Amino acid sequence: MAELIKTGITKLLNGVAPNINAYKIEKETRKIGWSICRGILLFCMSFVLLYPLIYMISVAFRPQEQIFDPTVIWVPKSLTWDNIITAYKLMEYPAALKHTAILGIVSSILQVISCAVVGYGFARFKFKGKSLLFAMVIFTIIVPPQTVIIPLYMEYRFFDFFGLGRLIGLLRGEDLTANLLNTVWAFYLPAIFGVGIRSGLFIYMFRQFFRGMPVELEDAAYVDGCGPVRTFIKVMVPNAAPVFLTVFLFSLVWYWNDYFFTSMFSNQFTVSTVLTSRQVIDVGTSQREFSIAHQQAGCLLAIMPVLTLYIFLQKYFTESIERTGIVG
Amino acid sequence: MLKKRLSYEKQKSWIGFAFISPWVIGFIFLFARPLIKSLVYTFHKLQIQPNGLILEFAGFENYRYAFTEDPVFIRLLVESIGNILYQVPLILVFSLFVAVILNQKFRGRFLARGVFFLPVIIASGVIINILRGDTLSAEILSGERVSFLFEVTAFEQMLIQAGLREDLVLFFTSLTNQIFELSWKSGIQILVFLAGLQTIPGSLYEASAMEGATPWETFWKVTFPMISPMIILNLVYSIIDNFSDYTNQVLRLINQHSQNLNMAYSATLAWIYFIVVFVIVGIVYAIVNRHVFYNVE
Repeated sequence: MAELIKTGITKLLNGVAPNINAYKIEKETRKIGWSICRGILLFCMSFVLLYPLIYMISVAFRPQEQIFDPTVIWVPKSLTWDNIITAYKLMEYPAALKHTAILGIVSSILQVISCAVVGYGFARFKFKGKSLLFAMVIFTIIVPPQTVIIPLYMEYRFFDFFGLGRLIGLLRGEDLTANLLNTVWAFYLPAIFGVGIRSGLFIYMFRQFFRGMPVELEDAAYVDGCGPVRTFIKVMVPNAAPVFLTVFLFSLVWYWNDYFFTSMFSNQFTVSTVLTSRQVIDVGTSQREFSIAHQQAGCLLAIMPVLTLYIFLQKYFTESIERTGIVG
Repeated sequence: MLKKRLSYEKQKSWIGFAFISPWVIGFIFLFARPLIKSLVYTFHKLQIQPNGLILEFAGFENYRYAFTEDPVFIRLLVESIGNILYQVPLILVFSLFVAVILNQKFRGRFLARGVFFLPVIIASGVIINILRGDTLSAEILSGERVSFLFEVTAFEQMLIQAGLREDLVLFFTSLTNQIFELSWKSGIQILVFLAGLQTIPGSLYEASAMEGATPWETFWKVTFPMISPMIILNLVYSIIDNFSDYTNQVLRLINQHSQNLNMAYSATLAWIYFIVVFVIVGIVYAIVNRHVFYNVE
């Protein structure tokens, strides 16, 4: 095969420029051979990665009786919307979607803002104990959330406004506490204070990015009479658009897909928790095989919004890596 | 003049502290305090009352139970450490390989990148779990293999009949079976490597091409050292990610205990687990960090 290509190219090149040397031909052959290999390799791996999605779509639109039909592998004999409609009803999709969207979008916007501010603080200012505090940021990434979940639950159940409630309690004789469970504040509050889902990672990303920005920009802003806060808002933030986009996307996706915190702190279903806790599987029918299509349809409905968003933002996202090398 | 400059520095340090203050508050009240509380729980027996928790001191009882009596914990812990020992290197090699390929200039590379970051978007525990459980249950129910990820059993039989050693064949087929899982776990790592590769200055490659280095040599002499800080980052991330994965058996056990309101015991397991993770990350970091090449900033 390789020989064939080689002679083919030799002939081709000799036709164009008879004096071309053997070295160049060799190089060309290698290049073409490699790009073919690369194409095959990427195609195979893309298939592996897209497999669940293809499977999901294939099963979700398949009529029930064809699910275990051995003659149907990928393309169903006929298409149906029934699974999607059933899953839509079982999940109470509009309500779950609305709840997930509000929770996810607000939390991730708050998280992006707070992590950017904190990341900038770590990147550009010198103060006592900075390296120790930053080590603590890394520490928050390492500790599994399971370790703190129970005390955190109690913390939100009897939230004392960062100790202020106790202080008031000393004066009044009764502690001032609020129950944040089952409210959105159990999610917004950690997001605002930089300890939301994977906030540590985002602070790290912002810090790396801001450290890579030229100091001259800030010096120039200072000479022009900008204070640090205005420099941050007017000079740094507009230049950090790609990293903001990346962090926002990650953050939204993690809030969207989160199962652990939402099932713990909230009694309202999100599209992720509803999939497991409402047992989309067994409602309506006792036969297990019926469930598979409904469940796949449910999964499809659950990831559809983020997937659409990703398809639109994907271009900026992958290009921003090319331009800035932001992550890490 | 000097005095004014100093005061500006001081002022700046206060402003810097103001910038990170939201995180400091959050860290103290929503992270450190719960963490310490949960450590306290591990030495107690907990009872849940309508107006809070009642603690009853129990010394090391929870730890003793975990190490000597719990029927599954130690086994699951050892298993998940074992998994990490061979999965993490595979993830690293795979993601570096993919990142190097995706870093090359070819048509459709943006599309390919889009596909490779897809796991980051949908690899949520719940969905991937349903998918996996689904193919499995479908197989059991129908009694035959439904359209499967990698149908290697037939191939496996063929190789064994061809006279190859059975354990060797099984090893390789179990590797291929895991390609799916590995590639789904590598999304972030590929992203990090790719970002790292982008920062290597092109002049280095030009110089090595001038000196007549082959691509193979260029990879080991230029790319690899330049990317080594990313390798350690990915190494630590992969270990942590593997340990905090939704499908991790130990975490499931911990969740199960906390759902059954065995709060103190659940906290104990979580702490033992956390310390094990911490020690492993520390050892790996200490060993690898010595060989990392840091570009002087």
